[in-house]
Amino acid sequence: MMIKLAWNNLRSKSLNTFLCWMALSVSIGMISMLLIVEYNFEKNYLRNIEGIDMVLGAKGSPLQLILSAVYHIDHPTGNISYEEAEKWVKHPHIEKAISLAYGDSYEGISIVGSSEELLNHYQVNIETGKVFSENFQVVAGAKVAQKLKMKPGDSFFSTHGNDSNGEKHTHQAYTVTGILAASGTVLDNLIVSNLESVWNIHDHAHHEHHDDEEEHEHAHHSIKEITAVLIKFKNPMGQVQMPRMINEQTSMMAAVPAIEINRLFSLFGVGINVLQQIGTGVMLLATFIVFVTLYNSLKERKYELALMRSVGITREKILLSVIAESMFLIVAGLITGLLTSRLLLLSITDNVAASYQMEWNQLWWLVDGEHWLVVTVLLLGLLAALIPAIKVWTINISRTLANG
Amino acid sequence: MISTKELRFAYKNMPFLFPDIHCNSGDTLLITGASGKGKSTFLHLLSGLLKPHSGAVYIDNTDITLLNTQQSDLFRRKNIGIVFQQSHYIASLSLWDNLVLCSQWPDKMITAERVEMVLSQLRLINQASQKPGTLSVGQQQRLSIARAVLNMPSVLLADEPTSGLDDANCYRVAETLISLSKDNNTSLLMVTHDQRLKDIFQSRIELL
Repeated sequence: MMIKLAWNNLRSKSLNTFLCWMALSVSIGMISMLLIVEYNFEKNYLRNIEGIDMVLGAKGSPLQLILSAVYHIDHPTGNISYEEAEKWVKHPHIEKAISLAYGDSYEGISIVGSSEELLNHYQVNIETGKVFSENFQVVAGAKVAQKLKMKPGDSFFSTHGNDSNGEKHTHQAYTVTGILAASGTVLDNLIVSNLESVWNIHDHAHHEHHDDEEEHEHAHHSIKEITAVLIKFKNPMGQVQMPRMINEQTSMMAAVPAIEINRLFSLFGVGINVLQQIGTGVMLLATFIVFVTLYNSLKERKYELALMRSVGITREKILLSVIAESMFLIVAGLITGLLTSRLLLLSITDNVAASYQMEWNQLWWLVDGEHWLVVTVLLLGLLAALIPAIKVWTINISRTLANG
Repeated sequence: MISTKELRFAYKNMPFLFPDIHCNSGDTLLITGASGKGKSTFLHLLSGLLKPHSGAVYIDNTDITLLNTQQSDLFRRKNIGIVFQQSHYIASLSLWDNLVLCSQWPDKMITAERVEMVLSQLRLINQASQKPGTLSVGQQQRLSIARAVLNMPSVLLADEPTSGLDDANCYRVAETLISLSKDNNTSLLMVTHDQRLKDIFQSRIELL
C-alpha cells in the first residue's frame, strides 16, 4: 500500500512527474549513448588493428593511411610500387605482410584486391561458396551480401572509384564465388578479390584511356602498384626500427596503427568528454528537480504525513514511501534513458556502418561505463530523497495536526 | 480503559497540569474547557502524539508514556482511534484505500468486509472509490470517524469533531461516535468547547 501511495502521489502531480522523468530520461539517454558510442568505437577500432603492427603506404597523413587501409573509411594517401614494397616486406623482422590494392567499387562498396591471407588474418570463414581462386573472382562480406542480395554465382561490373555513379568497367565482370561469415570486422562491408584482378581490370582501362590525364588513386598493373601493406612483426625490434627506416629511407610511409588510433581516440575523446560533462550537468539538474519536486510535494502533504503517523504508520514505512517515490522517477528515467539511447543508435546503424565501418556490439546489455551510470543515478535518487526523508523522520505530529 | 496520573506538560512558559481521568471500556467522557486551556494538548498526550513532562497515561494497563517512538506508533495503531477537528486524509488515495492504508499490519489485519461494514455504517459506501477531496465537509468528517473506528480500538479520542457543524449535524456526529464506541466496547473521550454536547455524555470534566 505504501508503494501504491508513492505511485498515486506521483500521478496526482502528473506535470511535475513528467518534467522530472523527461529531464532524467534525456540526461541518462545522452550519457548512455556517448558511453555506447565510445565503447563500440574503441572495441571496433581495436578489434580491426589486432595483429597489424604497421601499415605501409604512400606518403601523406599517417592517420589517413590507417583509416583507409585498415578501416576503409577514408581515401588512400596514394599508391606505392609493389616491387619496392616487396623488398621491405621480406625483411627478417617481418612475420606477415598482406598487400592491398583498391580503387574500384560496386554499388558504393569497396573492392579490395588482396589474398586469402587477408581473410585468414581476420579469421573470417566462408559462409557459403568458396574463396576466389582465379582473377575476377570475389568473395563478399556478410553485410554486403545481405545488402546487395549477393550469392555465389552472381556477377557484376565494378565502378571506377567509390562513387556508385562512376564509370563502369564493362569489359570485365567480377563473379562472386563465396560469401563471408559475419565477423564484426571491416570484411563484413567489403568485397575481396586477388591483387591481379585489380591490376588487370585497370590495365585494360589504362590502355583504353591512356590519354586521359585524370589522376587515379588505384593500383596500376603496368608498374604493379598497390595501395598499402598490412604488416605484423616477428619481434618488438621491428616495431622500433622499421617505421623510422622506411620513413627516412624510402618514398613510402610507415604508419603504426596503435599510435594513430590512440591519437584518434584522444581527439575523439575530447568531444566525448565535453558531451559527457554536459550530460552529467543535465543529470545533476534533473536530480535536483526530483529533489525539489519531492520536497515541495512533501511540504504540501505534511498533514498527510502527520496523519499517517497519528494512525500508527511507522516512520520507516513513510520513509519507504518517500524513497519509493524518488526511485519510481529515477528507475523510470533510467529505463527510458537507456532504452532511448539504444533505439536512437539502432536507427543510425546503417549510416554508422557505411561511414565508419562500425557496428554496435552489446547494444542490449550495459556497456562498461553504464554500470557506474546506473549506480550513480540510483545513489543520486536516494540523495534527492534524503532531505525530504529527514523532514518525514523529524515531523512534529502534534504541532502539524494542531495547525491543520 | 484509559486513565491518567498527574499529567504535566508545558509549552515554553505555559505549564499545564491536567486532572486525572478514568474512563472504562464502553464509557464516554466529555472534556470541555475554554480556548487555550490545553484541550488538544491533553488529547495528544492521551494518544501518545506528545510526550508529557511527567505523569502517566494508562491504556489497558500499558503506560504509553514509557514507549519509544516506534512502540508508540505501533501501540496507537492497534489501540487508539483519533478523530481530529480538521478532516485529514490522503488526497491521492480513494476512501477505500485511505482506510486500507490505516489497517494493514501483520498481527491485526482488517478484512475487506470490515472496511465495507464501517463505510456502510457511516453512509460512505457509495463513495468508496472516490477521492476524499470530492466529498462534502460532513462526508470528510465521517471518513475521519471511519478511519478512527476501523480497527475497533480500545480508546477513541475525538478533538472538537463537531466544531463548525449545525445542531443537526453536531448531534448526528456525536451520536455516531457514541454508538460506534458502544458497539465496539471502546472508551470514548471527546475534547470540545461545544456546550451542546454536555448532556449526551456519561461523564464530563472541565479543564480550568
